[in-house]
Amino acid sequence: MPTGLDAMVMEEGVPAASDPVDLAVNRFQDGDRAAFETLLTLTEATVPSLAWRLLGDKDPARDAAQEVYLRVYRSLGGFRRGENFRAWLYRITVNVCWDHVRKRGPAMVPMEDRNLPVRPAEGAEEAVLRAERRALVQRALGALTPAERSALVLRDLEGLDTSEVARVLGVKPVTVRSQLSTARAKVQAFCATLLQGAPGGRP
Amino acid sequence: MNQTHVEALLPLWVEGDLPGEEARGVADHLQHCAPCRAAAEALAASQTWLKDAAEAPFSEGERARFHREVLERAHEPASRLRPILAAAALLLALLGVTLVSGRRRAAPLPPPPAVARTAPDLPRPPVPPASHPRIRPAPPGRPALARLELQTSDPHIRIIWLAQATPQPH
Repeated sequence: MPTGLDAMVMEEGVPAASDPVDLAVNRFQDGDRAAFETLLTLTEATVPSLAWRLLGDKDPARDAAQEVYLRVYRSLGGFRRGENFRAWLYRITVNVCWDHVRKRGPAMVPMEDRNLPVRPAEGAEEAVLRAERRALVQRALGALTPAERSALVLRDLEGLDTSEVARVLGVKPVTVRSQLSTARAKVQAFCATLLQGAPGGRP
Repeated sequence: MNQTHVEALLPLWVEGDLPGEEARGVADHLQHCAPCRAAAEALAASQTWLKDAAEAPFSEGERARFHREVLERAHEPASRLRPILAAAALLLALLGVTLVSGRRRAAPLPPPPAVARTAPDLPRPPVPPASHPRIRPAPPGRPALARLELQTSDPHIRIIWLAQATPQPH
């Protein structure tokens, strides 16, 4: 499955007419309010997931994702045709999540998430180890600044390239590279410290 | 490239974020530097963990609920505002009625009919304060007669009300 903005018509200018997201945006702007549901369906796998990766907890992530779509619904009329809708959507999501962090403080990272989707052919032991690794990585992400975390999530988890991340965050690519370098080193150091002596702990 | 320089570049190299020349320099260095190679492997492993652990924990049911809630909330403002708008309209209507009736009450009265005066410069009697009733006590030995005088805003019109007081049974 393609990730990143490349898979979503990255070039500025008139978007490809065949892109269903851009078609839905155009329909909405032409007065077809039902196109919002199409947009939601096409993008809802991304926004709650991105919000969760930025916030680290499900309930705030769900609230933030809802807020993102409400902002989209209210502001889509003023969205300029030809611009990259998904980059705009990413930007709104990051802003909403940062607002959330500013208002309520960083989320308490759950040590163990018992609601992980079960993977097929995964044994109980693997599932437990995966849950532990997830909690560990969440704690490592919690140690990053919002800017570092956003850069890391957008680049390494959402699959955007450095220039796309820079556009979404409104900073220069060199700033993104610096944030990425710091964030990756911090995550590695955090995991290495906590995993010394832990079973299966390599980093 | 020395070890310090390469170690600083490894977090970017590990995900292919270095430009070609720098990336090649790091790769060359790693071939003969065991500590840097170990550091690169540790970084690659933590990146793998990061990606593996970042799978969103939302189930299909939660996604469906999210979808439904977003649509409900997107269409909510109009339905939520409707009763507020209705209440505001009612309030405005009441306010309008109050203002109109207040204006009618405060509207200037038509001028009093002309009264023929034999002596236009006759001094007018002193005007008691408006709407303050004046009660004159009855003379001693006679049944109490209540007399209530009300002076209107027109100095020529005075309302006098007389009433025979009945002694209260003890």
